[in-house]
Amino acid sequence: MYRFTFSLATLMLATVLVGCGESPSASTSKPASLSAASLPDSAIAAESPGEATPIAKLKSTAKAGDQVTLRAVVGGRSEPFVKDRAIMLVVDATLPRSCGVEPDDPCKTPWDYCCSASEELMPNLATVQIVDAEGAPLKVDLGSGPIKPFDTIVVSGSVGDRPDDKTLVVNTSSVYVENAP
Amino acid sequence: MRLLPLDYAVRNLGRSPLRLAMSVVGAMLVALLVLTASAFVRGMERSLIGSGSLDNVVLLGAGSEESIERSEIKASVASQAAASIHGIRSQLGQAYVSPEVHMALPVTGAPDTTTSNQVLIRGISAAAYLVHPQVRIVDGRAPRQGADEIMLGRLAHTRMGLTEDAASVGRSLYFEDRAWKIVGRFDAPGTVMNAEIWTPLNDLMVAARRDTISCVVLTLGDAEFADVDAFAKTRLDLELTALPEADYYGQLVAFYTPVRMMIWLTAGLIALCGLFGGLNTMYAAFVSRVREIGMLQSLGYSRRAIAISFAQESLIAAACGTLIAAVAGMMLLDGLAVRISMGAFGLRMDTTTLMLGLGAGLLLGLIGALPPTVRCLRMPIPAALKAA
Repeated sequence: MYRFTFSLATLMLATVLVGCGESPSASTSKPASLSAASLPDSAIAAESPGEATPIAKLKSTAKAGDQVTLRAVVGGRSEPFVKDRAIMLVVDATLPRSCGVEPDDPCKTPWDYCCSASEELMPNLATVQIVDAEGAPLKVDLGSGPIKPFDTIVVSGSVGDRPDDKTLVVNTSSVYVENAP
Repeated sequence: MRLLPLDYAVRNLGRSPLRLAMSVVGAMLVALLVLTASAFVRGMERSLIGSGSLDNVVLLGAGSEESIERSEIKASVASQAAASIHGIRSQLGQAYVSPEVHMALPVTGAPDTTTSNQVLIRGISAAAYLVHPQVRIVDGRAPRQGADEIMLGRLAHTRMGLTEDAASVGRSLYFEDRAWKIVGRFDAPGTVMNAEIWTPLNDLMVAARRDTISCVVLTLGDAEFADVDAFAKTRLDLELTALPEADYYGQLVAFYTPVRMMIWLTAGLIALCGLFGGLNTMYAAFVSRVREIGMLQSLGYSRRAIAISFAQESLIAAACGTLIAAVAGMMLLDGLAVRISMGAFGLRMDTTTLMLGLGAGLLLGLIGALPPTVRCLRMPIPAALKAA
């Protein structure tokens, strides 16, 4: 009898072990990148750099290397920041906010301007890069810093390469946040 | 405490073969149901999670983050990404950058058939084999461009509702008003690609009369995801979004959460029915042994010792049923193709699934024995000895 019960228990254990020969997932792991440094204090300007030009106008007139100033809202996509790089998308501050205006608006990411038509949003969309002395974007995570989606910022900097009139990248060393505490 | 010998419990099982059979079959059905539910859920999760490589990033149209099939981007994005993003993996000068078209199209096995099933057709270039290393051609060869040739995943015929023979190499399938010759079969274990049809990118674009692609899949080498995301957010003219491939399929796992919940709920309810059935059987079995319980108590065995002996009896019967269910599950269910809206996947009998099935069966045996035992043991010894 004991042999029978022992055999039963062994069988159950063996059944479980049969499932142990699983092949590993097809995915391969990649080491996580080092955590990004924090944004230097000098990257947040204490005063507004001056009078801004609408993004739509800059897109039609600005050339690579021009010094420009723009006033814009952080947004345009549900995730406006590039993780671990000081790069963000901004929408001209004059473009009316179509989402998140009403307090009971169910939109979870109103800063993506999903309620605006693409034809309306695209001419008012630009990229801002906070760069180092060599002109490369700082390796910091803007999303975890003092700048938040829907913040209004004023930026003065130089225009980057323009492959066409839809693209506008402004390289700057500092950002003025209008509604900073 | 003096326990009853184990022989006593085992020998008692044979006193009523019919009752033993009912207990074993009941436990087997409950365990099999839990095994099936778990194999379904884990098979679905594995096929979705396994489809995304942690090194891969998908560039797709902004606003189409939830479905690659809805995405449309310029065909030039692949070459622009390869030229602009430094650190993409490459081999012998070939960058791991795969432009792809994903389309769900109705596919039939014969030209005049009206009933069809939507199957995901993936238009690919040679780079697809680099960025999706899970794919192995197991029969025939890769499709050649300009010849209306296709290659089928191992479960594609299940998705189409065809027999394996009807979707074998040499046969033809019909979509987009033309015949496509099957020249190969591939296997991509544990991924959604197994239920797809692959064809050369240009052939699919011509047949579907489209000049855009759905996405670009690239594999990171020295580059980080941030580099690809920076490319997407600085090239506003291309209207791109960058997503880690694993995150994209992770979204799909979340999308199917209600389906998984429903399966567990159904399995739970049926298991509950099995438990009540088991309780009924045990009540009948134990009530007829009230005099025996009284006799055992008068011989000096404690109530706890008798309860343990009865639990052993019930557990052994349940263990037999559960083991039969596990063997049946391994033989009949493991790898069985299941068709869902997303594609098809194989049921998965892994350690977790087997543990759940065995646990459910044994729990049924234990819980099923306790209430009837307690009820019978409450009776005073003289009353029990006089019971009919």
